[in-house]
Amino acid sequence: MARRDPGDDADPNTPEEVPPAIEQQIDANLRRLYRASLDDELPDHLRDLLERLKAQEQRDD
Amino acid sequence: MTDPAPVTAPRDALVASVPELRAFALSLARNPATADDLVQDTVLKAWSKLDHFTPGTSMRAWLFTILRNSYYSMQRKGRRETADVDGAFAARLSQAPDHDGRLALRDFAGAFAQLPDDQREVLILIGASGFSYEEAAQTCGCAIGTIKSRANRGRARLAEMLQLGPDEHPAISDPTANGIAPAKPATSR
Repeated sequence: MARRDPGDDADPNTPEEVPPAIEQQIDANLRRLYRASLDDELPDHLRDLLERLKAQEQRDD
Repeated sequence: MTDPAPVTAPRDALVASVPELRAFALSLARNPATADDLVQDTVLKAWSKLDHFTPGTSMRAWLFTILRNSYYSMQRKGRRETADVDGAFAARLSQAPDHDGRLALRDFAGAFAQLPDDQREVLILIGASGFSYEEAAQTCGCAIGTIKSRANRGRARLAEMLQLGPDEHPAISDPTANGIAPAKPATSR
């Protein structure tokens, strides 16, 4: 069972959902925003880190 | 007897998840440098604790949980850089051609960046990365009802900030967005 955070804000104060058309607009833009981040090239230091870890794994094997 | 279907090695799955981890980190931190620090911390922690990962469960949910915990830990320790709310985060989108849809997306990014952390993370998990409500609840360590409340509040706040009405033309959407499907549809709505 999921742990509950202090100050849990579940029912009975759940706000009403926005109309479906607005939800679709918002979610479409969330996906565009997310996709823009996914399409970013990884910075060099993260690529280097992954290369180091993979090389270490090969050595350990 | 046939061989079992090939299973992606956990370390390969971890490496493959890095772009998604970074996208989630950017949405949380709203600052590329902080996001990259979070991703680096997460990768190092996950790599060294892969034996704690339960095979058959969601690697993505496990990694996002580690990243999220790192973010809130960083905040508690006061290491968080001041989020450049609608500056660095939204400005990342300015590299693209300035057609109407892109400009509108920058407005959307600016509004999204002003949401509280708990609403931003839930909207990205549910609305963009395709987490189910159950996965999001597990990742955020709270009840499914809480996830739904936060998603509702976040969407309502965005609609208010962007002055979206039910009869309004979808000015912040464009046809190209419809082709971008989340990795997995959210369930339990």
